Amino acid sequence: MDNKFQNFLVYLLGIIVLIFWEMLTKFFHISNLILPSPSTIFLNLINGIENGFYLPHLIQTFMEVFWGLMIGLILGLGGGILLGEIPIIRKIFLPYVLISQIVPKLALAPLFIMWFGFGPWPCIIMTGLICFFPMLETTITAIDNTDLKKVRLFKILGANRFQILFHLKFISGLPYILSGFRVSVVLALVGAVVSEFIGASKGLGSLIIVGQSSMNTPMIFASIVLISVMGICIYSVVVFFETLLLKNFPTVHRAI
Amino acid sequence: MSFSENQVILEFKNVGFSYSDQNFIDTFNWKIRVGEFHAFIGRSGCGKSTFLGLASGLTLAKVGEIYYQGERVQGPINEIGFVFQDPTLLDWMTVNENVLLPIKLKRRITNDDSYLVQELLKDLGIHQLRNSKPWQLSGGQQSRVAIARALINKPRLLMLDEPFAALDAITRDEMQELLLKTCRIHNTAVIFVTHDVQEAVFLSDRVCLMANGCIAEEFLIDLNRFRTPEIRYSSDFNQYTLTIKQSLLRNSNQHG
Repeated sequence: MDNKFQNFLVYLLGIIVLIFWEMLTKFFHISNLILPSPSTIFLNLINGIENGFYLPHLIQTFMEVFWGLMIGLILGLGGGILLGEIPIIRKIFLPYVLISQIVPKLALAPLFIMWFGFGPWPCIIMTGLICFFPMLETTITAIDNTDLKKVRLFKILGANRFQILFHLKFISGLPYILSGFRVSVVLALVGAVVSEFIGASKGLGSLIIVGQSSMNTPMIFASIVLISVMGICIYSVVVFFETLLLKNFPTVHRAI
Repeated sequence: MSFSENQVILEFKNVGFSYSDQNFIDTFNWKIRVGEFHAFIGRSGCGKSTFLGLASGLTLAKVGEIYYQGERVQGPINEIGFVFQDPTLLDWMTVNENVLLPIKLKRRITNDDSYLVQELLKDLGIHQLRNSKPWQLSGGQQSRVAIARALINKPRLLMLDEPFAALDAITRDEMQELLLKTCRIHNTAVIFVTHDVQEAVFLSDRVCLMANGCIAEEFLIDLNRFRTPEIRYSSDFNQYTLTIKQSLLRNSNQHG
């Protein structure tokens, strides 16, 4: 099967599912409150976008995801480099990092709301906290598992520790670090939306809660669609930059 | 013939090392002069790697003294070239960049350096591959790049640790002839560690047989210095090979 045909099959499956869903709701007269048809959801979405209802919520969630990711990226990368490079720091800090990850982070959300109010900050911090861990783990692994032969080469060439860290360990670990970032991106979306459930008046997550309490099921589905589209877009951008950064690496390391 | 023709590059004085908990450590003396080619041969665990560690200054001698160009070795000697068993090239750099790595770690790369790389790559017959990535090269081509990288600093002493062990027989013969030619051009002294007696005899002026952390025997190879492939089939060549093989067996039997 050639590539075009395979792509066609991918779209075909999606279309079949949507048609089946549409027919299901029509034939069995399923109420919009239980399961709205794709066309109802689509109309709701178009209306909401046209009259500007969804835009501020979309921007809000996007900003939370973005800043949360940045916090997670900086802390995870910085921490990972420190913990990966200096064994004694890893020995002291890693158990506490693990404990902080084992505590269900969403259980901390009420605390964050008490500390930072109902604005975007609790959501950003929650997202950052969730993104941080995969970044940290992959960075530690990448830095710590550098090919010893290459480290020996750098030592023989008289490289200092800083050079070994940034010219060798960081670059050779880049494929792993970036795969950690991809995981972080997916988790960031979950983090932002779920922390909006708990305490936010703006954002796609809060719309879902509003939809639930006002029995506006089409709005819930429309929000889910928007969240998914946003997720796919962010993920694609990350994969694009990843491909760009890894263009010099053997293809085995590449995600797509 | 310059005045430095007989200058000693590296000298071991009463050096001894041992892996096992022996009470008595054999010590030995050894030196290499400008332009000489010494092969080190011995069974696994005879101390060849330790010898290279000492000779490169990566490990310091516990017993005895080591002098590089008349000065006592106190740490890694950065001026020497080193070729490992495995080419150890950096995946994300082109052939050109890999060869320039030793310079890049010390200072900015100048036009002179770039010119030197081109000349070296021409000498080694891989000039057309200068912009390729290591993973696109064959084993023999990777070895050539590793040798070019070791020679970029114009070292007076080159150390090779079984560099051709993983190559097929024909490529290995080619690489041996190429290595000899290149080292003769630059008048580089060479320490060549190998398991292969024929390789040792073909390449070197002197074969040092190592056993139990010590140079047990030395053989002067009095063949025409400009080695041609035909030498491999001469009776003198076979005689040397046989003598050294017998000696190798004798020494390994003695020490179990």
